[in-house]
Amino acid sequence: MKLERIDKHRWRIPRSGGMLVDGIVYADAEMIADLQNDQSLEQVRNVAHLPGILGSSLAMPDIHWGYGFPIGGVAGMDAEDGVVSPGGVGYDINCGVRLMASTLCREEVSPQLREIVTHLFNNVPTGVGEGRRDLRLSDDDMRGVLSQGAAWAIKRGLGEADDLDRIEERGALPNADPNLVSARARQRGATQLGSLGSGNHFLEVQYVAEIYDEPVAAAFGLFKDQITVMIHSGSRGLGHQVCQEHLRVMVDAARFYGINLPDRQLCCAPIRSPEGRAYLGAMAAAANFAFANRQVMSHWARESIAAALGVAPGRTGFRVVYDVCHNIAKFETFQIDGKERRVCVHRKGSTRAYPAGHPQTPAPYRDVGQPVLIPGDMGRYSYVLVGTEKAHAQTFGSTCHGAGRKMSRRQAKRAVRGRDLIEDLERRGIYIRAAGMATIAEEMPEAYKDVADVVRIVHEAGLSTRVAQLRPIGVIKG
Amino acid sequence: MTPQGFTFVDHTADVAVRLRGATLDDLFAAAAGALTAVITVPEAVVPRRSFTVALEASDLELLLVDWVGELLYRFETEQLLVATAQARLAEQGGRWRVNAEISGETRDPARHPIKVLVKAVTFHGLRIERGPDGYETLLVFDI
Repeated sequence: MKLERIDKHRWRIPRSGGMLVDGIVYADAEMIADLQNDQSLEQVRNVAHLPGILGSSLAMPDIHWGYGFPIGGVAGMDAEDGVVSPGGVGYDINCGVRLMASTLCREEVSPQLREIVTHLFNNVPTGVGEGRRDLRLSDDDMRGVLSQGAAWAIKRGLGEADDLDRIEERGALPNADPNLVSARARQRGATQLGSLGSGNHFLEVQYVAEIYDEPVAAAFGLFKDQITVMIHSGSRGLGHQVCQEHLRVMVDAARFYGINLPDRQLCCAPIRSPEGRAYLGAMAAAANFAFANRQVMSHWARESIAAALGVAPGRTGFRVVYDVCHNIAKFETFQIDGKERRVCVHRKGSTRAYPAGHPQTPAPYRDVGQPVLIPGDMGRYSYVLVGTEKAHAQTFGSTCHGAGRKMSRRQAKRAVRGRDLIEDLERRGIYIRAAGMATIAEEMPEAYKDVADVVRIVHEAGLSTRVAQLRPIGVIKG
Repeated sequence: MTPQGFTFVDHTADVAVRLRGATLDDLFAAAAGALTAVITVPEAVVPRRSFTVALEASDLELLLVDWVGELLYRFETEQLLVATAQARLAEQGGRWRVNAEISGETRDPARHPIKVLVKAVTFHGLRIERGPDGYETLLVFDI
């Protein structure tokens, strides 16, 4: 494939054949060399074929092979004449990350760390199937979750009213239509609200290990050695079912609308078509389920940590720093060729990164920019970055989302054989509980790329800049 | 290839299996067996209850995704694990149908440890091809 270097961190796949725009990949030379071996660059090129795509088909430095769209892919579609594609969002609709920060310091919690992780593991369901028995959703409840998102949980006493000020879209997409979420999807979700799931999802107790930008960290309420909690989870079976059903519809719809696609998984329909509108309404409802899911889990995490420390929940000072979506399609406004355009931005493994002063940057952070949360693997670190003007101008206000795997699950299990990973992690000061032993092996730190490399590229490219590094001390997983 | 008609293929982020069957009926039965083997230890799943499934789609690949998706839905909502599946495929008027009799059991955590949980069945690399020995395709599960 033809690839031209634009500058230190940008590579162009020039428009050719049926491509409507160029592809642009943010990466360094070493990453680009690695990418030659998989299909992800071809996927960037394939996305450039979608009707109504604006600017370029973009990929962030954590780009890797996905279903149809690459993971780390960003595509902005004209809201009037463009298409929407479920593959540009992914199966786990509104998979995302929430960060909470406390008033506690590392030394205050270290002696009780095991107790804290045990409480978290007992109170926040992980792994197969069901959420907590004390949260079962009636049909009315489900309607509330799907239309109101995080606010539904807060009304039920699962959180604080001002949590909403620090969640992307205030924890609810506006165009959600619960009636468009099938009975099957609701049934998959009915018992799963407030559950982490499995795979790379996690809940971590962390501490602030490094501060790179003092004024912005202070605006985010972060200080060195502070205890934080990070939650990485999404819309569970409900979102998976919505994606699966609409992919299926879109395969036929793409044929019907005469859209020629290089890969069936890019199946799509015009945003204004009945199929496009149906997907967008159902996707927004599933996204709201995910916002509510992270809200419920963060409430239980606050309770669990306080209980383990033997104090009232208010005494830990936990508050939401921010909550981001990294698998989503949203309507946002950008200047393109000097004109204001409404764009349906598909972010599949990409995080919004809005600058200071933007009306969509949440009010508490409007002077500094939107917090960007980038989770890493369970043995190393995660990052807090801040959004920039450059991202707004170049990438539809988007940046990277995480590390990405480098070993298959089987390779990871082979690599772990004979090692006690739990003990290894404990020696590094990280206490872990997981529902399945296989998960710990498959999710071993070495199975992932170093997220610091990804963060370095977006920092140097100016798509978002480093604010703080967080290191895990307690982990629960599925 | 196992007698069940599938083998695991190494995959960086997710789980992939290669399915093979002398007939389309066998290929679909192999897909059901593969789902069970992805989720848990298939030898520990025995037929205790049965049910039927009937699905229709405009082509065979869509039908295969619907078929495995149906079984995944049953697992997530009823904890149902498939022991055996007898599938009968038929084409009529350009559409494909599957009628199947399935037997299996409700998951018992003591006997059925979870290997991984499947989010969805994908279209990636999915192309049912006919060779001299029957039918074959890759099937990738999103984990």
